[in-house]
Amino acid sequence: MRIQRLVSRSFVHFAVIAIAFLWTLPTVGVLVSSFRPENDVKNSGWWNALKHPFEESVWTFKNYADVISANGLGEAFVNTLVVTIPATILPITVAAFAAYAFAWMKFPGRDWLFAMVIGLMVVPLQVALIPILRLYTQTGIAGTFLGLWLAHTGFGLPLAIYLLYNYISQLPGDLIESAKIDGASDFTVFMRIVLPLSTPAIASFAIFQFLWIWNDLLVSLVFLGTNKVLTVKLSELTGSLGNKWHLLTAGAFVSMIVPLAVFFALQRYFVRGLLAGSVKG
Amino acid sequence: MKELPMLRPNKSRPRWHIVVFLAPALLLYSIVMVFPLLDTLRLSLFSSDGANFVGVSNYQRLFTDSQWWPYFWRALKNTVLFFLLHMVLQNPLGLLLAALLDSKNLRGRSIYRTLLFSPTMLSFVIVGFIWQLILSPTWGIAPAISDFLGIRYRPWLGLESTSLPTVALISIWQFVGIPMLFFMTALLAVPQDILEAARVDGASAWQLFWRVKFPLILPTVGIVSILTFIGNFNAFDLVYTAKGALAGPNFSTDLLGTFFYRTFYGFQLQLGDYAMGTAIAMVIFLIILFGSLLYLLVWQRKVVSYEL
Repeated sequence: MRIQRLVSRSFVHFAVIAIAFLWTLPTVGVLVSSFRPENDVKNSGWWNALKHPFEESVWTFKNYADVISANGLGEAFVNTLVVTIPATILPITVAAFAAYAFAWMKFPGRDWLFAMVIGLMVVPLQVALIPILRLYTQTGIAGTFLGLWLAHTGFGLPLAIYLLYNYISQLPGDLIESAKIDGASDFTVFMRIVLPLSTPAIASFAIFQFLWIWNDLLVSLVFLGTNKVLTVKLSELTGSLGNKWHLLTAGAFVSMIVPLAVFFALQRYFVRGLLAGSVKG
Repeated sequence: MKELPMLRPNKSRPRWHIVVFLAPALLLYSIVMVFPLLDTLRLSLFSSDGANFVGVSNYQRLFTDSQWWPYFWRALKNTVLFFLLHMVLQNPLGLLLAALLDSKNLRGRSIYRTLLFSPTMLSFVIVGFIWQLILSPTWGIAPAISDFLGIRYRPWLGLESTSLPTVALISIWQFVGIPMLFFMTALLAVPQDILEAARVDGASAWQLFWRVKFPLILPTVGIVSILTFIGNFNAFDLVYTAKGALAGPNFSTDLLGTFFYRTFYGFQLQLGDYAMGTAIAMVIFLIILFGSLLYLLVWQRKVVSYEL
C-alpha cells in the first residue's frame, strides 16, 4: 500500500514536471536566443549556448541595445505603459462603484440591469469596432490615447463588474450595516471597508485586464495611429526585419518582461480572488 | 440578511448616491457597448455608401451570393473546428493539469502553476513568432525533433491540410492556463470533510475524482465551456500574427474574425466594405448570443449545483 502510494505520487510529480518543462521550453528558447550574438543565432540552435554557459563570447547585450534604440522599441514600450496603466485603473474604479451599488443598494430594476450588464459580455469586439471608430473620427479623438483608454475600459467592464460583484456581495453584511448605523455614508463604507477588503478580487481582475491590454493587438491597431504600442511595433518588425531572429527575440522578451513581473507580484491574490466567484458561481 | 428597522427612513430620501455610484459605468457602457451594438445593426441594414436603406439584403448577399457565401461558409466551418479542437483538447488538458496540481503532497505547486500559465501572458505577436520559428523548415528545431521521434517532418503551419489544426494547437498551448486556473480554484473549494469521508469509505484516487470532485465542479465545467465558446468565435489575433490577414495558405486558416477584418478593411484590390463588415459582425454576435442562451437554458437548468 505504501509503495503503491509512493509510485503514484512520484508518477504525478514526474508528469507535472514533464508537462511544465515542455510548456516552458519555447519561451526559454526565445530568452536564450535573445542574449546570443547574431552569428551564433543564425548558425546553431539556442541550446548550444547552454553547453558553454560560462564563456563570455557566448552572450551579448547588443541585441537589446539595437532593438530598443534603432528599431524604436523603447518608444513603443513607453507608449504601451501610457496605454496600459490608465486602462487598467479606470475600469477597476468604475466597476468597483457599480459592483457595490449592485450588491448593497436596493433600487427597482436592479436585477434586470445587472443581468444586462453581464449579458453584454457576449458582444464580440468586432461588433464594437466600426461604430466606435466612426464616433471617434467625428469627435476628433481618433488616434488619441484617450480614445484607447475609453475603449479598453468599456470592453473590460463586464468581466470587472462580474468578478468584483461576486466578491463584494459576499462580504459580511453585518459589517456594512453596523458601519451605516454608526452614521457612515455609502461613500465612506465603500472607501473604508469595501475597497480594502476587496483587494484579492481587484488584484485578480487587474492581472487579467493588464495582460489583456498589454498584449492586445486588434484594438490598438484600429484605434491608435502614430503612437505605436509594442504589439503593433513587433508585428511590423516581424515583417521588416525578416530573419533577424537575434533582434526579434530580444524585442519579444522586452515585451514579455512587464507581464511576467506583474503576474509574479500579484499571483498570491489571484486564486483567492477567483475563488469567490466559483464557490457560489 | 436581517433588515434593520433603523435603516428604513432612508427610503423616503432622494437616493442620488445610487445614481452617482452607477452613472460612470452605465455611461461608458452606453458609449462602448450599447451604442456600437445598435449602430452596427443600423449600418448592416444600409447600402455600402450608407445612403440607402436596403433592409436585410446585405445578409441575403452574405448567405446566397456566390461572391460571399462560399467564403463565409469556409470561415464558419474553420471557426467551428477551431472551437471544437479547444473543447476536446484544451479543456480536458486543463482539467488534467488542475487535478495533478491538486494532488496531495505535491511540492512547488505554485511554480508549476506559474510555468504552465506563462504562455498565456505572452502577446499573440510573440506566440505567432515563436512557433513560426520552431516549425520553420529552414530555421526551426521541429525537423530535428521529428527526426528524433521518428515522425516525418512536414511544414505543418504552411500546408493547407494541416495549418488550421496547427494554429489551434498553438492556441491551446497558449491558453490551457486559463481552464487550468478555473478548475484549480473549483477543486480548492471542494470541502475537505467530504473527501475525507469518501477516503474513509475506501474510495481510490480515481473514484474520488470522478465520483466526488468532478460532479462538484460541474458548474465550472459549464463556465469554462461557455468562455471557450465566446473566446474562440472571437478569435482573430493568432491567425493574424502567424498567417497574416489573408489567413493562408489559400485561406485555409480563415476564421470569422479574419474574414470580418478583411471585409471591413479591404485587402489587395478589394476595398473595405462597412455594410458587409457590420453584417458579418452581427452574424458573429448572433451566433455567440444564441450559443450562450442555449447554454443558460439547457445546461444551467440540467446541471445540479450543489450548495457547499
